[in-house]
Amino acid sequence: MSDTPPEVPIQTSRKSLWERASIVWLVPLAALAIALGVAWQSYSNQGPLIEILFENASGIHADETELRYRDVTVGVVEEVGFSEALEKVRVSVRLSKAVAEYVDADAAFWVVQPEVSARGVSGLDTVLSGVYIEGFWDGEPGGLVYRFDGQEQAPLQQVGQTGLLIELRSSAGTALSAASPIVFRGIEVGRLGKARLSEDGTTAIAPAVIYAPHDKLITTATRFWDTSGFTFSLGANGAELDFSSIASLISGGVTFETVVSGGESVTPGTVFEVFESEASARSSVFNVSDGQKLDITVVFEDNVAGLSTGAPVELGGVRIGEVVNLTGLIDEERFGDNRVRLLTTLSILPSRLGLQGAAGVDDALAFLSDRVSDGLRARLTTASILTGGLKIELIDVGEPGEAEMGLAAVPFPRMPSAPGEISDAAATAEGVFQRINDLPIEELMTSAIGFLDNASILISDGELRRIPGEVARLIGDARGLVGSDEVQAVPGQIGAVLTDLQAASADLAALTAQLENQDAVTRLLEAVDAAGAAAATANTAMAGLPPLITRLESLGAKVESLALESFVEDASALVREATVLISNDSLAAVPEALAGALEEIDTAVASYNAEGGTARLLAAVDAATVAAGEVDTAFEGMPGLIEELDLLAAEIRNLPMEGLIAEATELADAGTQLLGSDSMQALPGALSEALVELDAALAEFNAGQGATRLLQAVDAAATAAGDVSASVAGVPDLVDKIDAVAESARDLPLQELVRNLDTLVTSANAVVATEGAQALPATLNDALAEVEAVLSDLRQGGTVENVNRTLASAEQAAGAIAQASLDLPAIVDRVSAVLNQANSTLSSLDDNSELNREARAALRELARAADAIQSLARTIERRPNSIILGR
Amino acid sequence: MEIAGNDAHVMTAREAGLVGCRRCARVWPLGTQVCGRCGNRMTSRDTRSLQRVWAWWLAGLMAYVPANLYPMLRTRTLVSSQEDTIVGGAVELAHHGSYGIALVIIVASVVIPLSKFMAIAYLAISLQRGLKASPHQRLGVYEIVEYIGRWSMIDVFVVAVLSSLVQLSGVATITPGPASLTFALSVIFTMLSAQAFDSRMFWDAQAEDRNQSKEQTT
Repeated sequence: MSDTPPEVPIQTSRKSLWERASIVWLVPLAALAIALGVAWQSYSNQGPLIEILFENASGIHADETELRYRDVTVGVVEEVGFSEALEKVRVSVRLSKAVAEYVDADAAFWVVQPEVSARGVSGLDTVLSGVYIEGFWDGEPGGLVYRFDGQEQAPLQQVGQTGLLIELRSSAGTALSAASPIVFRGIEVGRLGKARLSEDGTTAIAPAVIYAPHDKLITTATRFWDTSGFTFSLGANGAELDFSSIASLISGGVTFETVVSGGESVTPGTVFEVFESEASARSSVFNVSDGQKLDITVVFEDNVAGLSTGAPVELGGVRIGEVVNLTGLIDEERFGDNRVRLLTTLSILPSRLGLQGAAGVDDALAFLSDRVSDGLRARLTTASILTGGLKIELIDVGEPGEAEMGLAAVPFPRMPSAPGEISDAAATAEGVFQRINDLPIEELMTSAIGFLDNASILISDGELRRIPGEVARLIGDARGLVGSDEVQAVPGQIGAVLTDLQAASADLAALTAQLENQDAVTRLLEAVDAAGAAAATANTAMAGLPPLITRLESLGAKVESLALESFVEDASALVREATVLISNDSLAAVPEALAGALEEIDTAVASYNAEGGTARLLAAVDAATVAAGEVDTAFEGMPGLIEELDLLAAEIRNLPMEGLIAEATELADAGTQLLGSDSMQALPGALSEALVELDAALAEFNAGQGATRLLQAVDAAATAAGDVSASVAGVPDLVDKIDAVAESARDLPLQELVRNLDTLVTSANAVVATEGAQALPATLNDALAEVEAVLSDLRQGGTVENVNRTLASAEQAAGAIAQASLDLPAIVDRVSAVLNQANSTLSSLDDNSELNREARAALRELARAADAIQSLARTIERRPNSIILGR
Repeated sequence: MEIAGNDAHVMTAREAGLVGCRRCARVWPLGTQVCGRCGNRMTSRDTRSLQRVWAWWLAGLMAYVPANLYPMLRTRTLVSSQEDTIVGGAVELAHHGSYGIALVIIVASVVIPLSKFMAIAYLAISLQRGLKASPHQRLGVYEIVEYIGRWSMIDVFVVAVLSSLVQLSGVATITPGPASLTFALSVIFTMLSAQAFDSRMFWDAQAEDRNQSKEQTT
């Protein structure tokens, strides 16, 4: 061993702890300080933990789901658990300290989830990021509250919105679907919340918000109605189809209108009624604001269909209420029978009666009671003739004091009723048919049948049937006569005669001129005067004629009964014979001879003219005048003559006329035979010859002093005039005969025919005169009046206007559809944009996108890294010592 | 010369009156203050070494707590985001069937750091209390601790690689969590703690043992 090593300097003195402590201790101290600092900082920055209770926690994850306020994260869910008895999900949220003091009792929390509805798409961002809890609280710090009940959906009043919160109440028939819009004139001004049932379960109540500044539109006079779906009503006013926009058709909606002015502003929380339709909303404008209603009952005797609840009750044409209940009523004790009567309950609005001041129910009842005492009654009337709808009308139809208001009736006062005035179209038509039914058709037919029978009998009468045959025969004969060559030739001959006549007349004209020149007229006048005197005398004589005629008539009456028929037949035969005679050739020569004679006359007249015949003629006239005077004288004996005739006629009446007639008949037969005899046949020929002779004679006359002789002849004529008296006596005979012929004609069976016709006319007259036939026009008149009334009802009922209005509302509806359709493209655009975004997002995830390539590359890298780690692990497993060895 | 063995007595520099430079390993006569070759300040035994060991050890332990409590990885994909602590991640991997990787992570991130803490604590306590143990054994433990310390960083490396690779904005993003920082710090601190150990003190215990046995024999 070597030298003792030098003394190792050993520091014995203990240094202070500070000197001994290593500087390295600062490191853990610093770490501790940092840890404590961080701990303190995180603790001090940590907000409070609040609990929100939800029905479920769909999509909520602890440490992940955020709480947002105005889309800024202000907290995160720390824990998701359950409340007591697992009733609800308790979500604990660590709140940011900054907002903690604002989260007071008014705060609301709800889960924002992606939602696609008819209203649009919302919460789309949560599809990828997951749901989050949205919170809403106002800007007033109100102290932290630690427990909240989460809401199922976003509150109506969103962040940053102000508005009026009200409640809408709906009865059956209207749907208040959550989140439905409240639309005013096509603009969305509010939103409905989720409806809940009222306590009694009769109505649904939904909170609603009307956003500012539209909340000013809401007053106490505002009425809401449901615009969801469409309404089709066929009521007393006709058919109406109404719906709003397409969106509200699908998802529902509510609109409103301030239907009367004077409403007051409302306070938040006011409850409004939601009516089924605009019409009911408008018509019910007095329902609430007009205060209490007066219920009265009316029992109608006539139980008719057509009255329904809601039917108007009118007083003087003003709607004062409506029918609220209808039921049948059987009360044997009161009415005495067991008929079913119509018991209606009317709801009268006192304020609609127009009473002065604040009209209450009692005032209205007192008023109605007074009016009932004066005769006011309720009665059913037709509201619409088309639909047959009925309404109740209060009208003064009763007698004053006849009935009283049943104030003691239970449950409501009872008003007396009057028989209804229902003008049913069907009933009117039925009345028309009834009146037609009542017409005496059967009687009319019977009369007509009788008439036809009588006509048939008349026509089937044998005599009547013979008439046409005989007439035909007569006509045939006449035709034969007319058709004979001779008669055919007559016109030509007549033409010649006329020519001659013309020449004669020319001569006569010249003669007349001469006559005028020689005061012929005066003389003629004198002659006429004389003739007038004679006529007067004759007139006097004629005065005695009537009795004669009467007797002649009675004589004729006897003659009537004679066998005139055979006489007629004979006459007919006679006529035939005459026809044959006429058709004789020789007769044809007569005209020619006549023509020749006329020519001669012509010549004679000419010569007469030449020899101052006129003057002589005048003389002859003078003589005629004298003759006339003689005639006058002769007539003075006429009355006596007539008396004799009268006596003669009386005698004749007593004569055996039958025999006379028979003899006359025989005479006629004899005449006939005579005419039919050859000699008679030859007569014309003789006549013709005689005429020829005459012709010749005239010619001679012309040749000789014809005119002078004529004058003489005229003189002789004057003398002859005196003989006329005698010839006048023969005239009555002729008249008698004519009369008899007339009488016999009167006796023909035509009288029967006339009688029958008379009967027929009478019976026809009777038919026409029957009451039924006479009532027919009146009935028709009534029917027409009814139809006219119906038409005027139609016109006054405003049916046409209603139809027009219906069409107009349909047009509005169509317009609304059109508007909605205008909105639709915007919605579609929005949806399209959303889809485009989604599409681009998805397409960025497509195979060839950069993102995907990178992701794939990264995953490949990861796989490779994992492989490397795996091989490393294998290596370590295989050779654990390589860790230590570093290889 | 004696050969270093389990039972053989090892001659220390101090016993030889020398002091070795801990940087360049040149020995100088005892009392030399500064290494003549590398200029390192020299002491025969660093009496404050244990203090530093404990200080680093404590800091490493403090850092190790949040490293296991806070998330190591933050994975955000299109539809979800996920935060995994070390143990949680390993358990999840094991759930998905990747037992191998889970084992690697558990070993590298839990077993090794914990065993390091325990090993360093054991060495330090045994030195302070003068517990009997083979200096060779202690040296082996110390060498393992010092060697294995660097592998604890494998977790940090995985996080660093992943977060740098997977940055697909919007679709998938992996960012390191706070635990990755504290875990790295923890590893660093434990490595420093192991380095702060003056391993020469193991041999002093051997010298004391021999002195005691000499006294017993004499």
